[in-house]
Amino acid sequence: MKNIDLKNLTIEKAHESLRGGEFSVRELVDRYLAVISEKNSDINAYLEIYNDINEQVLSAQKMFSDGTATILTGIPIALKDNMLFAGHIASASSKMLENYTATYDSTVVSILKKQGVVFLGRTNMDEFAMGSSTENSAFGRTKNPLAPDYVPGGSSGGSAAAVAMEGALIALGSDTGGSIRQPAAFCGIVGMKPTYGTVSRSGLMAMASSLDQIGPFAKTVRDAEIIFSAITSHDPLEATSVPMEARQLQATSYKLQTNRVGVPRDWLSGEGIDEEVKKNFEESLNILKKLGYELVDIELPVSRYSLAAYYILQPAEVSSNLARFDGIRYGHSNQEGDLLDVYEKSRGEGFGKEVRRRILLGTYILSHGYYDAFYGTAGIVRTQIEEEFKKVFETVGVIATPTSPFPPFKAGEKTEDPLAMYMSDLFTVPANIVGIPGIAIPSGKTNNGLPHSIQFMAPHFCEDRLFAIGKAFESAVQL
Amino acid sequence: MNISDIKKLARLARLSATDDELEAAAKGMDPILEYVAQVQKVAGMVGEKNIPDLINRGKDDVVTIETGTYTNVVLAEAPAHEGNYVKVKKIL
Repeated sequence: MKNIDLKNLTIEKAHESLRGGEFSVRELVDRYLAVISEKNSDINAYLEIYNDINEQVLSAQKMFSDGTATILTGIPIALKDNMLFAGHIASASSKMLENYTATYDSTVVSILKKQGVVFLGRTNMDEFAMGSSTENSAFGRTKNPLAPDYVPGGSSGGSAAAVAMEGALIALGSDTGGSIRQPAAFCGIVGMKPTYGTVSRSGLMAMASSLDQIGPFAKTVRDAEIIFSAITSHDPLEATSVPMEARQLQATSYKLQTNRVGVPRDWLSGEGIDEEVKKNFEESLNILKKLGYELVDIELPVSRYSLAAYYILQPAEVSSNLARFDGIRYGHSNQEGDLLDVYEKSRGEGFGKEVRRRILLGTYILSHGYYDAFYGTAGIVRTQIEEEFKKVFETVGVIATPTSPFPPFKAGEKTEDPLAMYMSDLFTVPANIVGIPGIAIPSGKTNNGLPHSIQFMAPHFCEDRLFAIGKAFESAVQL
Repeated sequence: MNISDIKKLARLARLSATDDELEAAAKGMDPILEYVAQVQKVAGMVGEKNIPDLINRGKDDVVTIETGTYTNVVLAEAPAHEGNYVKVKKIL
């Protein structure tokens, strides 16, 4: 087998080597498959390795020989199990969809297919993307490749672990409240949630539609940028996809071009924020200062309540979106009894504990008598949070926070206390509430050698600001 | 939240569950509801002027694929079907 240095490989380096014939697509893919066969039975990052990799490799190699190769041709990627790839199982790590074969391609898959990306397999996740540790999977937990007793974060923990264990060069995940950024933080890699409306969700299993967004996992900011540039598109199949001209307009409405970085000090004073995380964040701010950025304390007082608003909006949308699983059209079905029995048994058996909890919570929140007090109020708070951020972006170019309030935790540590688990998303949820982009970048190590991570947020459609500060930070930080 | 509340919710949400499961679910619900109720405090601060201004985005109702293109793959996923129809149990 060809000796390829996977640890230091990037998309651009791989592309140069593939183009120059230093190694072939086959050789590159085989290196990753060898790692997977060595590590995956223990880590459980992948639920399945696809059976058509050979065909994908051949057609990618052909693109090099006939001169149609792009930067992503032949690049091995891992796909979160909630994105449709026609003819392949997509289960959302749920018993409900254990045997469900995707009937069409999600838009992201279809874009990447055209570029000749090699899809290696589908990765484990918290069932229907509900969780922060990838322990809520119907198919066993995923271990953190850096420390197997610890969780890889979630819900896209399998995708993060696949990249961190060198089982794929890049991966896709979805982020509703932090499900890309938090696992990226826990696995010591880069993870990005783009602006709401940039990457099509057509063919992504809907969790909370006003919050869901697809984004990349990679080892470098530049790689995340390359993937984002490839998958961002205006998709007529998706009603919330924003046309390109409208994006440009909105991005340029944030006129302020500045090296000022906002730090929401009031967020850091709350309970439950780890001391080591705070210390590392201060060190990261010092790095930014040395790089020439000006740090400004900002106030986002209502946004502190983002997580509370999120745990109203999100379960409400979950209960509506998951109503489609009825045991009639697809997915798990128990055909005993009358029609009502079919609904109740199919759903009761098919959904795991956390999914059922959120459906019940959402049903309660949307029920007559509680709707105004919860859902209506959360909507008002959401609007206020949006305005707060808009105002802050009149004075700073980017906002910085830690990605997670605490470092990676041990498996089983938070499984019995849902609220403690929900706290994982404290700093990542506001970007989803507002619809702005956020990126998580490794920022050092804990005393136990586990990864720290910093998050940057930018105004709508200003991903370029995240890539700029991200690259500067990445090149200056000592890992 | 007590067991009878949660039983009603499970019925509304079309979820079968054992009494033990519902008991456990009811217990877990209160701390979450207490936590999210914080929004009521904040909403008092910001007032009603912030009611979300939402618009529905629709698509033109036009057929873009040839009828029947996906019929077989879609039916293959249905637990029960007859001809080109998904089969549903009799209601009346």
